[in-house]
Amino acid sequence: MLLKIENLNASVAGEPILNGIDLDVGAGQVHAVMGPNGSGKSTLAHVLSGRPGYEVTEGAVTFEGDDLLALEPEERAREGVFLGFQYPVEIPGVNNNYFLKAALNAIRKHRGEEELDAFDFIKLMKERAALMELDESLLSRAVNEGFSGGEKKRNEIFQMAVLDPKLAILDETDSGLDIDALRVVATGINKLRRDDNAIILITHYQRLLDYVQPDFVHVLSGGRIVKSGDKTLALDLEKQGYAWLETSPEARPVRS
Amino acid sequence: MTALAAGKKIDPLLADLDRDGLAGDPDWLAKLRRRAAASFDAHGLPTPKQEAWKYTDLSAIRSRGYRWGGIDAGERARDGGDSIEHTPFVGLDPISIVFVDGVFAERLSDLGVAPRGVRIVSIADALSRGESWVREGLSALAHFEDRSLVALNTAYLRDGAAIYLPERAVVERPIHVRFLSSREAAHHPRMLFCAMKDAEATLIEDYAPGADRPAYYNNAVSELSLGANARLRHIRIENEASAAHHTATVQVLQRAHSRYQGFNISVGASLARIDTNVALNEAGSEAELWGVYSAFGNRHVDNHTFVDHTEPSCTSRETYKGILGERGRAVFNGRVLVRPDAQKTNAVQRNQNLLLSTDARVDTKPELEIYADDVKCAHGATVGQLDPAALFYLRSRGLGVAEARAVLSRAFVSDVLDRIGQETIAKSLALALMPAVEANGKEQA
Ligand SMILES: Nc1ncnc2c1ncn2[C@@H]1O[C@H](COP(=O)(O)OP(=O)(O)OP(=O)(O)O)[C@@H](O)[C@H]1O
Ligand SMILES: [Mg+2]
Repeated sequence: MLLKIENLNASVAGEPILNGIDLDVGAGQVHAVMGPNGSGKSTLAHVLSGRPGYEVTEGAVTFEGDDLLALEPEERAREGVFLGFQYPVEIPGVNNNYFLKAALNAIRKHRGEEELDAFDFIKLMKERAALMELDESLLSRAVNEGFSGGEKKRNEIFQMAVLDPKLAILDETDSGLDIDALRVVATGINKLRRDDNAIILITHYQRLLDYVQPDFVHVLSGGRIVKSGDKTLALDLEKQGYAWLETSPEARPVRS
Repeated sequence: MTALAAGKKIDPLLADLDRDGLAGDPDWLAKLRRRAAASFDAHGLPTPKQEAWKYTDLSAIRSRGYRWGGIDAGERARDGGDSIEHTPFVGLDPISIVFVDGVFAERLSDLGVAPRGVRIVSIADALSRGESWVREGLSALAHFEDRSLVALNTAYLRDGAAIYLPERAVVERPIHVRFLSSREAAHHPRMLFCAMKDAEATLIEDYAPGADRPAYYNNAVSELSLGANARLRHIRIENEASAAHHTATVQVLQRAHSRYQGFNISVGASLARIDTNVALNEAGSEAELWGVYSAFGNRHVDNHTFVDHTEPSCTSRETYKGILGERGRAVFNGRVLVRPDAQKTNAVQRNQNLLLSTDARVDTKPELEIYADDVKCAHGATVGQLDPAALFYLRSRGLGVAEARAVLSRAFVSDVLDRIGQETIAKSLALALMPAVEANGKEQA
C-alpha cells in the first residue's frame, strides 16, 4: 500500500477537525475526496503534508510502509508527497523558475540523483510547460504573484508535473479553472498517471471526474469518511447533494 | 599638536596627532586639522545621553584603546610587500582606487584612463600637487563644529579618495573606492566627490577587512556635491569585520535638478553607525535613498538618515530594509525636514524590518518635520516575521527550513538589491548581508 491512514484524528488550534479517518491508497489509484465545506478535506491534505499547527492527536499514517507523520514537510516532499494547494501562496521576490529548480534539486539530491544544471532544467521546464499548456512567461515571474486564480491552479499542476511525485494530493485544483483550462489540467493529470503513483483528488464537482476517472470516491463529513464507493457515488452526490448522508448514524461527527 | 595640548585636556583619541605622518602638510590643512582637533577635544565622542546616540554606545571605541593606524601600514601596502588581497567585484571592470589602513595603495588600484578633465586621485597626492578643488572641497560640506566624529576624522585628515568631474563629464565605468583594514588600529578615511553641472558617474564606496579580519576602527567621512543637473549613483557598502567598529558620516549636497541615487548597504559590525545627510539645496533636485542593513551574530547596525528640504519642488524617496537574525541589533532613524520655503515637496520614507529570531531587536523611528503647507509627505515603519504560509509552501516542495528562510529573506530585500543594476554586486551583497542565513541555506539545500 502506498498510503495507509488509520484512525487519523487531528486538531487545529485545539479544535478537533479530523475524527477518525481510515483510508488506503494503492499505487496506480485515483481517489476522489468530496464533502461539504468545512468537512475537513483541506485539513486532511495539510496533515498529510505536515503543515505546522496541525496536530495529530490519534492514529497513524504510513507512506510506503514508513511512518509519514514523523517526517518534516520537506522530507515528505522529497519522499514523493505533493500537495496542490487550494489557495496557492504568493511569494513576492522569489522567481518561479529559481524556486522550482531549488525544489527539484532538493528532491533529486534526496533520491541520490545528480542535480540538474541550468540547461537541462530549462529543457525540462519547457517540456512540462508544453504538457500543461502553461504560458512560459509566468515562470519568469515571482511565485504566484499577481497570477489569476486559474493561473495559480495551473502553476500547481505544472509544479507537480516537474516534481513527479509518487502521491499527489490535489486540493480543489479544479476550482477557478475555466472550461478549457479544466480540460487541459485534467488531460495533464491523466498523462502523469502511472502504475507506480497515486492521486487524491479533492473536489466539489463531477466535471473534473468526467475527465479524470477515479477508482474510488469518498465523502468526508464532520472530519470522517461517511461513505465510500466507486465513481457512481460522485454522480449520486451531484444529483442529491450531501443531505441524504447526514441522516445515517455513522455520519454524525464525533466530538471529543 | 603641542599648541592644542598646551592649556587644556587632551582626549586620548587625539594622542597620535603628534606622529610623523601628519607633518609636512600645507598650512591651511594644518590649521583645519588643529581647529577640528580642538573641537573634538571640547566635545569628545557622542554619548548615549544624546538622543541621536541613545541606542549606540561608542564607549567601546575608547576602551579598546585603538591607536591611529598612521602611515606605516600604508607604506607597506605601497611597496607591495603586504599580504593584503583585494578582490574586485567580478565582471565590474571599474576604475578602482584602493586604500589600505587609510592610505592609498597604488599596487592594488587601477586608475585606468579617466575621461578628459576628470580627476580620480588620492587626497594625499592631490594635496602634494596643491590641487585647489581639494582644498575648497574638504570640510565644505561635512562641518565638524557640531559633529564630533567628523571633527575626529578631520583632525587626522591625511588620505582618502578625491574625485572631480568637470561640467558634462560622464564617467561610464563605475568608480570603485575601497577601504581595506588589515590590522588593529584606528583609521579616518575621507572621501571627496565633486560633480559639476551635468556630470554623471557611478561611485562604489566600500569598507572591508583584510583576510585575517582583525578588530579595528574606521571613522569615515564622505562629502559629495552634485552640481546642477548632475547625476550620481552612489553604492556604499559597509562590510566590516564582526569585531570592527565603524562610524561614518555621508554628507550630500544637491544643486538644481540634480539626482542622487544612494544605495546604503550595511552589514553591521561590533558597532556600525552611519549618518547619511542629504541636503536638497536647490529647486527640482531629487534624492533616492535605498538602504539594506542586516545584523547577525552579535552585530550592531545603526542608520541615521536626514533629508533636508530647503527649497521648493524637490523630491526625496527613501526605502530602508533591515534583516535581523540571531542576537543582531539594529537602529533606524529617518528624519525628513521640510523647511518653510520648500513648497511642493514630495517626500516618502519607508522602513521595513524582518526579524528572524526572537533575540534580535530593532528600534525604528521616523521623524517627519514639516513647516511648509503645500507638500506631499508619507512615512511608515514595519517590523515583521517571515510569512509562515510562504515558508510552508516552499517546504512542501522540498526546500529545507534553512534554505526556505534564506530564500524568503533574500526576497525581502531583492527589490532594493536588484535596483542596484549590477548583478554581481547584488549577489555578493546578498551573501554579505545574510551570512548565517546563506550558510545554513546551503548546508541543507
Ligand atoms: N486555524 C483554525 N482554527 C480553527 N478552526 C479551523 C482552523 N483551520 C481550519 N479550521 C476549521 O476546520 C474545519 C475544516 O476546514 P477545512 O479547510 O479542512 O475544510 P474543507 O473541507 O477543506 O472545506 P472547503 O470545501 O470549504 O475547502 C472548518 O470548520 C474550519 O473552520
Ligand atoms: Mg478546502
